[in-house]
Amino acid sequence: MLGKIEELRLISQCVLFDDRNAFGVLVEEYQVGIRRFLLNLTMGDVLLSEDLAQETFIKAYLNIRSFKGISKFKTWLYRIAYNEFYDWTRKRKEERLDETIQIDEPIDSVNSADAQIDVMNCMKSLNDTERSVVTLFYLDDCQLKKICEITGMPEGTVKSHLSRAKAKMAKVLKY
Amino acid sequence: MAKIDNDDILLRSLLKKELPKPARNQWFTRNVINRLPARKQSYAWIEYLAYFIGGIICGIYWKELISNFSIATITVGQFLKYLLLVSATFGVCSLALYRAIIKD
Repeated sequence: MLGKIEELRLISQCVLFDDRNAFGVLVEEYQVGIRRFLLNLTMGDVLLSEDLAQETFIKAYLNIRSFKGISKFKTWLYRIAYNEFYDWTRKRKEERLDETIQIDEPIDSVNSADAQIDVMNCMKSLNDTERSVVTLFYLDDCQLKKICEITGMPEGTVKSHLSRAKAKMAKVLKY
Repeated sequence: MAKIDNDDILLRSLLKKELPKPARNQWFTRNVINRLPARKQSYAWIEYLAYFIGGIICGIYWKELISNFSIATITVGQFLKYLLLVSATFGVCSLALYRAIIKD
């Protein structure tokens, strides 16, 4: 894991010398997290999430001079990834944007042989915003303040989405 | 509150365990780097070299003038040389700093 000073050194090299190797080190450091984040947002669409992840890093490189260092580089990257995902959803032609899929029968995940499908169904029951917040909170262990920075939503709104998401997931998972 | 915290812990561990993780992709970084726009050809080094040479020349003249300086016998010519050298040094340093801070 890169230290803060090492990270700033690499960013400075990218800004001052267009050092692609330094940027490659940053990509290696954060690619797993970004890819996982986007994989969960896209409901397991590997090709789409890989493409969005690449676009995220390309945008990050092109705009690296705008990184002020006030927030962490990771937070800034996640913000770009989140915006990339939302730009993609806006461009989507399907009318399924922000609709939730109704799950009629709650499934007891403790006894279910296929917990992974249960959890996937659970995530499908959420809308895009709720899924983003859940992914950041539960999978990336982000604090509420960081989620607010990434999504650009006020803390109250984030809490509200989290609360609704938990209620929906509880209904699906029956816990 | 304890129940909510337990629910959070349970949910967190369930999601971390069961949600798909991205497969290892050894080519991901290479693909990103290959998709970056082509590097712009930069001739800025010529400019920086000129500032460096200018700085060296100013330094040599400063050394000359200081070693020949005598406050009792300063002439108008010497005074004008000092003025010119101060302006040249200030100009070279300012331009170099300006280019270093304001790039492209």
